[in-house]
Amino acid sequence: MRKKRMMALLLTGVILAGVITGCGNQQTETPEAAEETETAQEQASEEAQPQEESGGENVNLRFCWWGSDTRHEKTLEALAKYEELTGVHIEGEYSTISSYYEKLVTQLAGGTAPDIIQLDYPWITELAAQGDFFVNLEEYDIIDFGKFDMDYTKGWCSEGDKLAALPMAQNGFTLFFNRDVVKETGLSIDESTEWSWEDLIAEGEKFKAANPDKVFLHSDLHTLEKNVFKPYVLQQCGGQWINDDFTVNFTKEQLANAYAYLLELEEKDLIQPLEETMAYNGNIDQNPIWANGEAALLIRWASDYPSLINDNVQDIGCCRLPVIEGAADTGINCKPSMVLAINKDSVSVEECLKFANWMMTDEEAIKILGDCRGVPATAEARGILEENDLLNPDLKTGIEIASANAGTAQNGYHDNSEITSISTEILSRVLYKDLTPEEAAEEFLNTIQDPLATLAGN
Amino acid sequence: MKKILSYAFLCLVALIMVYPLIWLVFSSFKPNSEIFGSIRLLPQKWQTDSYTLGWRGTGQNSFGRFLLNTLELVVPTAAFTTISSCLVGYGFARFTFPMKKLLMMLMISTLMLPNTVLIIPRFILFNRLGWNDTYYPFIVPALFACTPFFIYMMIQFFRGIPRDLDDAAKIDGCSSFKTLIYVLLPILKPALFSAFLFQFIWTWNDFFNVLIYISSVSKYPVSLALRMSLDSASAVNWSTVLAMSLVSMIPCILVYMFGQKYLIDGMATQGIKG
Amino acid sequence: MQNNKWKKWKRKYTGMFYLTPWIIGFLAFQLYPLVMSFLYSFTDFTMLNDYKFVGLQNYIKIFTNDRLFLKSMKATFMYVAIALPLKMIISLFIAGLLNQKLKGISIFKVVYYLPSIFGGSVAITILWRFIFMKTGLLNTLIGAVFSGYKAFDWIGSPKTSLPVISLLQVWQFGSSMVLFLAGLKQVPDSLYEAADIDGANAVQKYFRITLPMLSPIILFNLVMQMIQLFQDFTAAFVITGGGALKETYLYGLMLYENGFRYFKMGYASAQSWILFVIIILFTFAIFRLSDGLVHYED
Repeated sequence: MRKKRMMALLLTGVILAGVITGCGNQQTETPEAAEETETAQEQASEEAQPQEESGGENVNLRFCWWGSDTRHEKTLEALAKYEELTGVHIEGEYSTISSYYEKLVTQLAGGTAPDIIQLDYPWITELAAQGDFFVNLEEYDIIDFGKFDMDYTKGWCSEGDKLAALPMAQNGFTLFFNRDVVKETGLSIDESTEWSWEDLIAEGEKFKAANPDKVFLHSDLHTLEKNVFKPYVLQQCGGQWINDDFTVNFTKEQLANAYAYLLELEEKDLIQPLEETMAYNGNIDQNPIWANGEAALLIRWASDYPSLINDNVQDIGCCRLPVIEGAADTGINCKPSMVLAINKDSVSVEECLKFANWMMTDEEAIKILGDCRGVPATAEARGILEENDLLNPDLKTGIEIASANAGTAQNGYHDNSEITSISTEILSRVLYKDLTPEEAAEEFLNTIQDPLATLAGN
Repeated sequence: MKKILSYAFLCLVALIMVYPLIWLVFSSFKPNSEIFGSIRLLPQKWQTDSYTLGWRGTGQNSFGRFLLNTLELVVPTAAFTTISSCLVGYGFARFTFPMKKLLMMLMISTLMLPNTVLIIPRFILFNRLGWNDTYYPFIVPALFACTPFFIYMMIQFFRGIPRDLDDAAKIDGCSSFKTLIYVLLPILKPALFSAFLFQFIWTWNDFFNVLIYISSVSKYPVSLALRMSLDSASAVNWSTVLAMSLVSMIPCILVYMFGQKYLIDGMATQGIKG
Repeated sequence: MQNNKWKKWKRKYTGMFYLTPWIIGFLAFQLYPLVMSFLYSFTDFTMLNDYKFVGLQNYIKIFTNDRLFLKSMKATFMYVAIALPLKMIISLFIAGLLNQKLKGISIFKVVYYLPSIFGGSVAITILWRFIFMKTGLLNTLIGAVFSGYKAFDWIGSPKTSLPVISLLQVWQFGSSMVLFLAGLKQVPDSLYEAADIDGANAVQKYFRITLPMLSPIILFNLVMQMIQLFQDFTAAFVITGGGALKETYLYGLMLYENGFRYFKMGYASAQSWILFVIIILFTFAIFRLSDGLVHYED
């Protein structure tokens, strides 16, 4: 009897011992940590560092970004240089774009977001609707705003009166062409080409008649919605996609025109049938049509240029996105490809700002980073890179063409995820012949009322 | 004859099952255009540096580091889950106590709520405990049998073992714990191994939860490291991605192969009477 | 006297005692998220805002004014209906074959488990495309057999996209198979020996001994796979993105998009609790139906 009881007690002992030793290591940190997170997040970042020298000038900051290997390497190099210069240690938290935003939001909810944060511009608006997370950069006299194009900066990065972020690089829609295919097929297109959408169809029909096996405009649902449908609508109605008061400028007729245009592209076989590109939706790079040099044209962000080059496709050029004749706006989206914001709850907002300023305006930093984030947003940085031959000339050309024809700077609702997915879905129903353009236009206007009301409610 | 049929059938199904995997292995030696553009099995142009390039990793850490991290995260999680689930399963399967049915339903029902809506409150909870950027959010719950899948699994295996065995042990003067250790566990080896294996592989492959909790790159496990450099604006070298995906599977395969013997000669053959 | 009371108490609570780890774990780590998600379902929680209670509004909206709810529900039921029986039958059948004492059988055990190790890896997207695209493996094979066959894209076509992603689940039947194998190992040889003496043939042995002895594991696999399939969206997420006219817009994917993409966490919580109720009803039904069929040794 006793024995059994002893056994049982022993067992609890074993379990509890496991529990205690299991937690033992962080036991020393836990009580502080719990308090810290409640008062301020600052300690959280320090805690991540093994050496706990709180106070003093030993500032440790965290900086998160997404990107490719090259971007990771160059940014780390810049961080090392900055530490060498100032003694400020910045830990890089780099990863992929997929689920980056989800992680960031979770961290913001838990109060553990990094101090310096790379963002996509629409997130500023989305997050601002839910709380105040980022420093108003103009409240501090640290950033050298003289070096930034402030119209551009404020157009894309402010929320109300507040400047929440700095643009890190420029971007813009361009029409890319594969020069080899162009030469081979006699398509008349070069950097100075400025087509209307009708020209695109006319050229496409000629192209297809002569080269039935080639694809004229390489596409997937995602790019069709973003790079053809939206510009086509905006070129008709002008202004914002979604106004700041959550009304819209476009009419049913204008929407129907855009749907009809896309349907025409599909019916004339100028794009691959949606059915065949669906498996690559959102991953257009993986569709071998472009990589094998079987497609002539492609509409993408200018910054995507490096991803379009491979063994078979070496020589590509770009020109202006097609624009409707007599357009109200070019509809050419020239958003910053990335923006940089500072966490309001950072250990040291000043240090973060100093770093941000160094990263974007210091010559040494600019040289280290090169074009790993695309074409820099400041004229000075572009100049430095060009002088030192660090800027990809093709990348630069694309940005210049897009910027020269830039449409209205769109607010963050332009890329609202819910409205975008409604728009994408309805477009797919048109291309799958499930809806006529007129029905689709009606459906679109009806369906977006609910998310618009939700946005207005915030 | 029956044997030959069995073999033939097994081979046929095996071919269907693994042909895609073999293709994937060869694809790790192909350039992108071949991976996406052709269904040929063998590469036309062998690209052999994908493994060395991938192993080198990004920036400060080599892929080996990420593998070690993963082991540090996965081994304790899988081991603790197995032990704790076994104990709890034993309690449910072999004893009667008040509210047993209710507790059991409660336990199983915690599996029925989708993870998506639990992520935020769980993150906030673990964060209050100061466990952000550590492996504790995985290891500590494992210690407390927080994966009811395995508890229920152990219950079902316990219930497949004749109770006569327990009774015999009891008559011999074994305590309930001793009965578990000396009498039941040997029979349960296949189940214990399965639990360890599953938790090992699931934690190994877990992307989203790990992403949420682990911020420091030096603590990344392979599931994060594999996707660390996938970026739409630059040319992704898919052969490297595939190569490292395959390499990261090796530990899982090893665990399975090593433990497989428990699935071959369970203790059932040692003359237990039903 | 004292001793007797203790004995009684002990008999009553020893089981509870073994439950301690889980009880602590449940109270410490699981209860809070569960309760919070239930509360969120009555709020306009976005993940980051100071949410306010909105009563039953979320639930009312789901049933009256959500154009994707029913579509998604339908897709999910179809998904479960295709994947669950196939996965169960195949894994049970293969486990039976692998349980024979044949030479080299362990190689097959590894081979059949390999796909399950892959999980939802990035490689899956590439692999599935390789098989099911218009110029993919499947169409090539069919084209080689039937000369007049007109190839189409299986993933991009609304009629076939859902079965195609369900097949990923079926392909990864390894976990169920391993559990069946583990269960088969627990069946005492003596039972078969006794049956041999009675002159039972293989089929009789399978239905009279193997299946009943395996029934607890069959029940377990059935219930767990069902719960998991109702929530799963890996395949839809990495292969179709819910696409081809939302035919693969699984419930789990809808929850994820509402919660993490559209910041409607309160709404997603309400949808989750609806799924919870559905799964519970199915689980109860399975338990009820299995009552007489599952054979326990205790």
